[in-house]
Order: sequence, then C-alpha cells, then structure tokens
Amino acid sequence: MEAALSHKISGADKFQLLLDRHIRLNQSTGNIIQLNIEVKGRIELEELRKIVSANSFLTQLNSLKVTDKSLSIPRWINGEEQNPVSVTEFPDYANNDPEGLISIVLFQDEPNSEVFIFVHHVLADNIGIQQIAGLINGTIKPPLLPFAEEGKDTTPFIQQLIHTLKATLLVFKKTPKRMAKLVADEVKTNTNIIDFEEEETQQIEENAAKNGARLSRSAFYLAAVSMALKQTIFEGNGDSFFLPVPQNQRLRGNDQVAMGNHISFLFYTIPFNKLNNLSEATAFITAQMVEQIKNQSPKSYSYLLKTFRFLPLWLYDFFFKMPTKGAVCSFLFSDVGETLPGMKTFMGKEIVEVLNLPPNPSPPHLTFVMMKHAGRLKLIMTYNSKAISEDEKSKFGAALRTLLTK
Amino acid sequence: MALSKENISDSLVNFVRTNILAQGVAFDISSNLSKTGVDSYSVIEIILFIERQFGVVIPDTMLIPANLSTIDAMSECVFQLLNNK
Repeated sequence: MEAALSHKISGADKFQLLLDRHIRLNQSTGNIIQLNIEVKGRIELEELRKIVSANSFLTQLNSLKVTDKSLSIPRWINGEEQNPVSVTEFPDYANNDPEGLISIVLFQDEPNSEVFIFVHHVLADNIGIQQIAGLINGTIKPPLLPFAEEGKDTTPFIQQLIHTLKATLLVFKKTPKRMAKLVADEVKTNTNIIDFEEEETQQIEENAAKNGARLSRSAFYLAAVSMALKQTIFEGNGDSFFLPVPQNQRLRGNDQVAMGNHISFLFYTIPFNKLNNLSEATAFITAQMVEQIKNQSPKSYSYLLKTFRFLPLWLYDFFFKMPTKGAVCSFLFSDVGETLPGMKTFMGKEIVEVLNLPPNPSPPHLTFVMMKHAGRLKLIMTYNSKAISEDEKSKFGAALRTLLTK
Repeated sequence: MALSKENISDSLVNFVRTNILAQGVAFDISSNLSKTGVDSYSVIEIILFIERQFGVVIPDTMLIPANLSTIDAMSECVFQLLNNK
C-alpha cells in the first residue's frame, strides 16, 4: 500500500457508509460484517495478538480513513496514526472501544476456541473478510492490492445515464406495497442458524438439480426461502416479494484485490402465486436471472451506485422517513457459496465451524445468507425479533428444512 | 464454411479471458471452470455468449455439470448442436 493513499470511494462503499451513519444515529451498532471461526483446541490470546500485530498490512487497513467533504467524492486516505487491530478476549471486549475498521475477539469455549472477526462493511464485503481471515492464517500473503483500480470507463455519458435511470426505475417502481408485516418502530436483531449435515447437503444439492436448478443452485435456495416465508411469516400478508440479490463484480480467479465492496445486484419479483411448488418457483427465478444478465442489469445498477457517491446523509435519512421507512425490498438474500474454501485449519488447529454473519442494517431487517463450509450448508437468518416472533421463526425453519431436503 | 470445434473453443476461451477472468489467471480449454473461479453467474454469461455468437440455444437436457465443467465440454455441445441444425 502506498504511503500517501488517495483513492476514490466506490458507490457500493458509499452506500455502506450511508447505511452505517444512519444506523449509528438511530441505534448503537454499526454496519459491521462478522466471520466466526471455531477450532478444536485452545488458541492463546497472546499468540493471536502477536500474529495480528506482526501483520503490517492489517494495521494499514485498520488505519484507513474516509474523507467526506460535501460536493466532492469521498476518498480513502491513510490515517494520521497507525492503529494496530484490536485483539481482545471475551468478555473483556465489552470494555474495549477499538479504533479502526477491524476488530478481533477471542472466545474460549472449552475445549474449543472461537475467533470472531469484525470488519466495517465500508472496508470489505463477504470476500474481503474471508481474505482478512486468510491473512491472519497465513494462507493469503501480502502484499494485496488495497482496492481495485478503477479502469477508464469508455461507456458514453448518455449511456451511463440511461443505465442509471433504468436501475432507478427498476428499484423504486417495484417497491413492494405490503411491508407492514416487518416494519416495526423498534429493532432488536437476532440470529437464527439453520444447519444441514453433510448427507442433508448432498440431498439438497440433488433436489436442486431435480427441481431444474441446473445453472445456479441459488435460484433453488431462493425459491425455498420464499416459499417457506410465504407459508409461515407472511401467511396471509402480501401478494409478492421484491428483493435484490448481490452479485460479485470481481474478475474471477483473482484473490489479490481485497478491500472495498465489489458488488452489484440482480432484482427479483416473486408473486406469491408462483410459489406453489419448488420446480415452478425455481424456473421463475432462473428466468429472471438469465433475462437480467442478458439485459446487463447489474451494470445498470453499478451506475446507480456510482451516483450514491454524491448522496448526502440528510437525503438518505429523508428516504428512511418515507411511509415504507426506507424499505425497498421484502427481505435480503445472498448465496455466498463456499466460505473459506479449502481452509481446514486456522492457526494450526482444525476448523470445526465457520459462520458468515451479515449485518442487518436495512429495513425491513430480514436478511438470509446461504453458505457452505466443509460440505455442510447453512442458512443464517438475521431478523428483527420485534417484528418476527419466536414461533414464526421456528415454523419458518421447519418449513424450509422440509422444502429443501424432501 | 462450417465452424470446427477448435474455432468454437478459441472463441469461448477468448470470451472468458476478456470478460470473466482476471489478467494472468492460467486458463485453457481443459481448465476446470469452477476451480478457476468461474461461478454460476459467469456460466450463464458464457451460455448467453454462445447464443449470440453461434445462434444456438443449449437445451435443458444438455445443461448438466459434465457439459459445463470445461470450455472443451461446452465447445463439444455447441459443435454437436451446430451440426444437428
């Protein structure tokens, strides 16, 4: 990383920054992503601290700042001081107020240890946080490129404008009418993990193929989540779902570009009358996926995100005060695929569990992440327990398990 | 002039190198797409490129993992479809 970094923040990063600032004004937690790694045996706090503090790249990342002067695009710059990444042990972390964008907490869960890696979403997306885990583990070697270099965009300005308008219309015209079920005055985030054994995972993958998910299992998973939601939490509420699904914009095969958010979105409208069986729902979602890739919708949305670089916080806050309270979707869904692929040990100890925990900053505060590690699928659900009851959550989990495995 | 399987492969490799993979990633017709980092989204992009470039639609029955694992396997499918037109 250069000594005098000055790199324009991307639209996707600015969006995460706006989300963070908005929720910090209204709640205590920020827009933080989290990766939990549980290993067999004991990791010593001092050993972890030594590894982390010896990694100058992690310190540099943790010391980055974002300038945000009005009427100019925010920039990443190096902070005036170098902030080593904070590494604390549970429960001492509660007394700690770490500086910077990364923080690590060690939890001794005898006979195992758990390492919780927290990263501000403005610094990293799901792939970035996995690369930070790889840096700590020594399986990814610095120097990494801190941010993707923005290539010169040869798309004419008028076409960029058309892309932006197309994406704006897509998002705002389809904002669902029925958000009442999930719009609550108070937000209390809870997490529910639906875990599948290896045999169940194999069965689910066979079922995906049988139900027509030949190109992408994500369509099958989204179909199952939507059907289970319709059958349980949304029973009798609403007539369709509308949601964005993140799509990785990185060039493939390159694990060097670590930081920042490199995502665009595909958008799905799923009427309840298409959620009667998994084959039909999977085909309906797959058709939308193919159509949007054909129409370059993710590219259009990328241009919309670029305009977010100029969006002030007050405008974003105004948006949150509108009748839908800032909710432009029914829920969020992401299939992150294999998490920490090929990583069997962490700091020399066998990994027994990995969890990829999403932030849940946007209304309606209902986020699903489908992930896989060591041959086992997991659905991680973060939700507002002021809007979804324990009973509804349990019924949803049972319905989803039946849909995926039977 | 009819397209050979090699012409098809060259065209597909060029598309993947230019539009999907990062610079410097080792890749040829027999590279396993998934292991190279080509995900399902990118496979759909390749299939849409095949439709545009060669005017053939790969039927559902051919969309099986074995046919989508390498550029060589995909080229074989396209070659068969073009010859059965």
